Amino acid sequence: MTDLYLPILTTIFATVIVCFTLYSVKRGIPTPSPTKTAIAVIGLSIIGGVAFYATGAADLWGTVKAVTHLVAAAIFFAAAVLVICASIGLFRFGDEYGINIFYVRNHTTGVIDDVCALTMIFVGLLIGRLDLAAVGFFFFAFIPFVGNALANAYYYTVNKKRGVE
Amino acid sequence: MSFVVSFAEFTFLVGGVVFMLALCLAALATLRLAIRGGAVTSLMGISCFTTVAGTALYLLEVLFHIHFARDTAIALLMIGAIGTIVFARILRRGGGE
Repeated sequence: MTDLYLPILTTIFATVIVCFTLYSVKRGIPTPSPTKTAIAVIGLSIIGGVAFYATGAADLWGTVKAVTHLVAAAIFFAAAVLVICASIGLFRFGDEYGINIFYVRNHTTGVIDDVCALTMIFVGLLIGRLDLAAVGFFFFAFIPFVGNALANAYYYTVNKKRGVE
Repeated sequence: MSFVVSFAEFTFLVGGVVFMLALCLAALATLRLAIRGGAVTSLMGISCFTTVAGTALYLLEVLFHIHFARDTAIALLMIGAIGTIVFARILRRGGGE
């Protein structure tokens, strides 16, 4: 009987996360700020974990695993929203906007790179997969160099030849 | 196993699959960028595609325990980033677009 409630609860959980992320995307800034969000998530995780452990339904390791997996799932849903928004941006910004649209696309692909790297880091730390977090951190350190190299190459091959600064 | 633990594991699995589907959409967008753009734009599209594909493959290993996907993902992420920087330097010298 409880298995019937799993998809419903998961859908409600995903809807809340997706709406929260879409509201932040619509406003253009994280709402509330990332620092307040992180404090709220950590506080809610501790309170929920202690309350769940107090019921005696699971041991300490099971409680920690449940809380970290829920937070990791929330990160997955929020990251999916951001990746979809960036993909729509890549589809929409065509060549009709001029040659400098390259820099917009470069920024948009940088958003996808950042979201992927940060998701790997935080999910890897939360579920105890340090290899995933290490690869994500290594990649996160490389992203600025990649974006800069691409913009530099475009500037010297297109902008400078056409005299566009 | 209690209901909350089942709920957490099920939600984690669904979230991972949803994120992988979003990555598939991003892969389509970057492939379109790579096909339709000039040299540097194509390089940017392929660079982002390696990121997306590497992340999706790594998640495949995490969620479904397909171990060979992890090695492919690490190779894609490392060589993709380094190769993009190298080819961007080459394009800058040669005037690629």
